[in-house]
Amino acid sequence: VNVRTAQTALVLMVGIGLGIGPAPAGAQVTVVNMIPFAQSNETGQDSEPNLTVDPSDPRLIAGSAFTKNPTGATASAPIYVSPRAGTIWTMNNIVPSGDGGTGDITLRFGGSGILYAGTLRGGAGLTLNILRATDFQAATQMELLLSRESVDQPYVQTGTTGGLDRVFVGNNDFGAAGGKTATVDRALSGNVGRFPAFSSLRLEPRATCGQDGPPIRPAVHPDGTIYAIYYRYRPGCSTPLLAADVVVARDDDWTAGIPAFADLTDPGDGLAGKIVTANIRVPFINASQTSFGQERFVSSNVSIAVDPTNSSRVYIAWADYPGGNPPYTLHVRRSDNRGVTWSASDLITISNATNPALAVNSDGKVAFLYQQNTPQGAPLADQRWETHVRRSVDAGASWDDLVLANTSAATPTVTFIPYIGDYVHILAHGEDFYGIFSASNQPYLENFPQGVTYKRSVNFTTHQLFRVDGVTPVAVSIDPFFFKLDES
Amino acid sequence: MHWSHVRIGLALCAALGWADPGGAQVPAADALAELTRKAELVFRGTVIKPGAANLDVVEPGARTAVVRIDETLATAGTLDDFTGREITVFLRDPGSVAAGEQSVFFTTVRLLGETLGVAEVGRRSPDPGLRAEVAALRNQLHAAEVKARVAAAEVALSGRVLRVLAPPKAGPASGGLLTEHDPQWREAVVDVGAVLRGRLTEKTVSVWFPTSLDVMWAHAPKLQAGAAGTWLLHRSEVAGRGAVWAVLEKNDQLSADEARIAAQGVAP
Repeated sequence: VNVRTAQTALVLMVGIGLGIGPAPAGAQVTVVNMIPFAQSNETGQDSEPNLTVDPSDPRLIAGSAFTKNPTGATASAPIYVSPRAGTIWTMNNIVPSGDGGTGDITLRFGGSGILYAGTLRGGAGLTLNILRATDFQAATQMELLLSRESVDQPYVQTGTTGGLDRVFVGNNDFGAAGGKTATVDRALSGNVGRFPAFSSLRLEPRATCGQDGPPIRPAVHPDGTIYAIYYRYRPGCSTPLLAADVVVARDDDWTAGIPAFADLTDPGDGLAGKIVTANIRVPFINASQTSFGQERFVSSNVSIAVDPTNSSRVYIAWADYPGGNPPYTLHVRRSDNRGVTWSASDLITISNATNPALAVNSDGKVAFLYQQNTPQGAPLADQRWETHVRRSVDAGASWDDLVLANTSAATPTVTFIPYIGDYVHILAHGEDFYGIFSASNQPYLENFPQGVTYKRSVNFTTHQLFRVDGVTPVAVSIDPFFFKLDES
Repeated sequence: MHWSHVRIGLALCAALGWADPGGAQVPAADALAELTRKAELVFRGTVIKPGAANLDVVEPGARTAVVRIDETLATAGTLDDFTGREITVFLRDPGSVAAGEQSVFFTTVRLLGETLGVAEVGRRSPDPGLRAEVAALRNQLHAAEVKARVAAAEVALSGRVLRVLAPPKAGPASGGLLTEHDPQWREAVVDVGAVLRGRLTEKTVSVWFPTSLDVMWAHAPKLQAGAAGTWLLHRSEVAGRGAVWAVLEKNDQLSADEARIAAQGVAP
């Protein structure tokens, strides 16, 4: 078998007909294993991925994952760069690090073409770094814009107005006073000057149990409406089952006013931030779970997306134990009035799943990406991770279903947690959706119902991975996968 | 021409400070050790095509050449073996190679795509003795690196783990914070065999280590009762315990080879 031929095999298969309700017009689906050929021998657990597309040129894409610098150098960690719309990927070691990797990392292009990243600096614990690269393909290390200790899960979003990149980095800032840790670090002109001014905007006005949950996710609309979603941990909470509220905050003018994020209040207490659902139970079990595909539960699963055609329409997703009982369950809801009221029940509910991510395209079509552990209750050896994208053209009344991957949850064995990640990402550029997820790279074409392209050395007939010599076998590992849904 | 090609070529050159290729040359007698120190990949190669590149993201030009790796003299990290394969070399001096020319290239790895993209930090004529020289220099550099790590530790000791104590009470243990990056500290009691660095007068010492498998801590040493080893200790704050001796990262436990090097002597 010609390995090189198999390596670039692109199998287009008819999507499995699991959809319910009317499916949107069919999209051309592209799925690409992002590990480049030159890294064919890698066996790292490249989990917790993130992705961004240059809004001014969607051929330019950058991705990230828990990937170590393969040279062994400790001063920098890699990102994945593609100048060709995700069809080709190259690793570029430009993220400042202390151990050749990163902790949590997310990245986003500004309208200026500058790439911004929020990381927990490799080898430096809970040290937030906000970074900037004028040219993400260059071999120049990203510029450090801000560094602060005792911060978790930096999550970058951007918007651009008047030529200025607005940079929003959601984070859980343990240095915030009073245990009100939900924070967005914001720069109103991230592309101006060597050290653009960042302000730490505190979202949490209520008492907590000493902190909020790890994920604070902003969403940006071009008209300057900024939303943010977070878990408020309620006073008295305790592990392993935390009492929490899902809160959505809103600012109507790029967060330029004081106080920021104060434009949406809850009628119950008059405080900033609408409590969409109160007193839910969220598991926090920071260990690999054999009953959940080797993944953990660390209360890190919320998502928010605003309709680019209408800043009043916003979708959210969160995860919990319904009624305090398993399985881990994803919920999606919608507001059509800027977060004031929300759909009374879920638009869609997914059981035994994690990593919810939402995006809305220029037609108002919403896409919901998640990873579901199936079959529920099966022994680990039989478990799978199914990566789905559900799309709705009718504001969530009905959804189609694309299975991007259906991969083993048992192979490889976990080497660290998170196994596949505490988050994934999907975004819209115009009509098209782009996204990223991590999964086992076992080379079975049937694991990728929409087809897949591997750049690393592979033989899909013998189901083997190889080093660059095409002969020496390489063990199965977790890889990042890029996907694009071409809706145009 | 794809504009991104131009960007990556020019930006790489700028980043590497190659605007003045005619700058002062390092004396050859002094250069080999420095080249070996800087290089991640050292290989004997044959220039296949000057002015070319075989990475899609790289625009070919006078600063690039496609070179076949005939023999790998030294490599780094987890890089695969590219012997026999053609790669893209970003030349230190534009147009400085000719087709068919054989040299030993000292390079750093910049891009990993369809193949490698490496930046030349220096070049030598092929010499049958060069492989051994480079190997010897690499051994010296490795020993120096190990000794530097030991010297940077507050305490370095060899010993045996007597016991690992029960974990502290359940719940958040990172300053009261609930985070997925909680190190989940445990305390080990180590019987001190030899002190390689620092001052310890006790026969046993408590060494704290993160048991968490979170990405931030998974590769830190996990001490187990009965295990012998050599560890580099650092002062670290553990919630509820204050400053303790701790191992924090993979390199804080020395391999047998590293322990042998360390035992050869580091200033106490």
